Amino acid sequence: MSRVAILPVRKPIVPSAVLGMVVFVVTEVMFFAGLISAFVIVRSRSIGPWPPPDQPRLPIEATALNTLVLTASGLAVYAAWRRFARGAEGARRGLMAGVALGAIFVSVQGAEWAALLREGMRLTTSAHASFFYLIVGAHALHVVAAMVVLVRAYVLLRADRIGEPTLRAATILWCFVVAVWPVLYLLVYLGAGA
Amino acid sequence: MRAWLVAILVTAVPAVARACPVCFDANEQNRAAFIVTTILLSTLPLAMVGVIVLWIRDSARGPEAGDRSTSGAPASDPLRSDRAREGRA
Repeated sequence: MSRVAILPVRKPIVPSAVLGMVVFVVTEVMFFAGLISAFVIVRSRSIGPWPPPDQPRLPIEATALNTLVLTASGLAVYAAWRRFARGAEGARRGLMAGVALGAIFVSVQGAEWAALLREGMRLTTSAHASFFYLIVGAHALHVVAAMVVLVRAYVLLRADRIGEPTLRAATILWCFVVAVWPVLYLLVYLGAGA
Repeated sequence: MRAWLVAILVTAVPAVARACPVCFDANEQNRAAFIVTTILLSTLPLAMVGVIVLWIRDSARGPEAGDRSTSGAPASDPLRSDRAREGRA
């Protein structure tokens, strides 16, 4: 008589997709922490006013509105995940709203950059300009990458081929790019802590 | 014995430690910036790892953690896709 080994099956304590995304977000938090630290130190060492008076003025008011747009997108995506986790309807609408608002945010940022470039503020113009483009550009890249993840999640959701952990991982990434932006806005645009 | 030897050698060759010319600055604002950013970069990863450990610990203590199934075939095939294994909540 043959014997069959029946192995006990354990469910993961936390889903692999979620844990992997959390670890990735932690590394990206340190990436932005390094950029912020370098910015703070260079700013503290600058001789004269910061930002330099001969630089184009940053669009503080427009970016404040843009910040609200990005925050709304984060809330929409979070709500979509919560609905999905409860089995309620409306998750697709929330995801699409989040992607649309994120696209608006990136578009407005791009328009702002184009205006600043026309006014003569380039990457090599000054330390202030260098850090502005580096930090804001890095965040924009993260937003675009997170949008790709959200779009993929939306496609899978439409085909009813997505699991809750996968959607949760996408939500974590989007909430990270949303949460880190106000910190960057306060430091780079408003000069908080100067 | 070797530890004592190393300790004696280390204490026998002291040198004057001078302030780092990069991170020390007569400017109070710059010194404060270095201190604040050093604290930030030192404590942030520790805090995040600590939160993750607490999260995993709390998840392990949950009612569904470590669910074991020994009746017959495995409850899930690890080779199945993510969606099939996890399903919709």
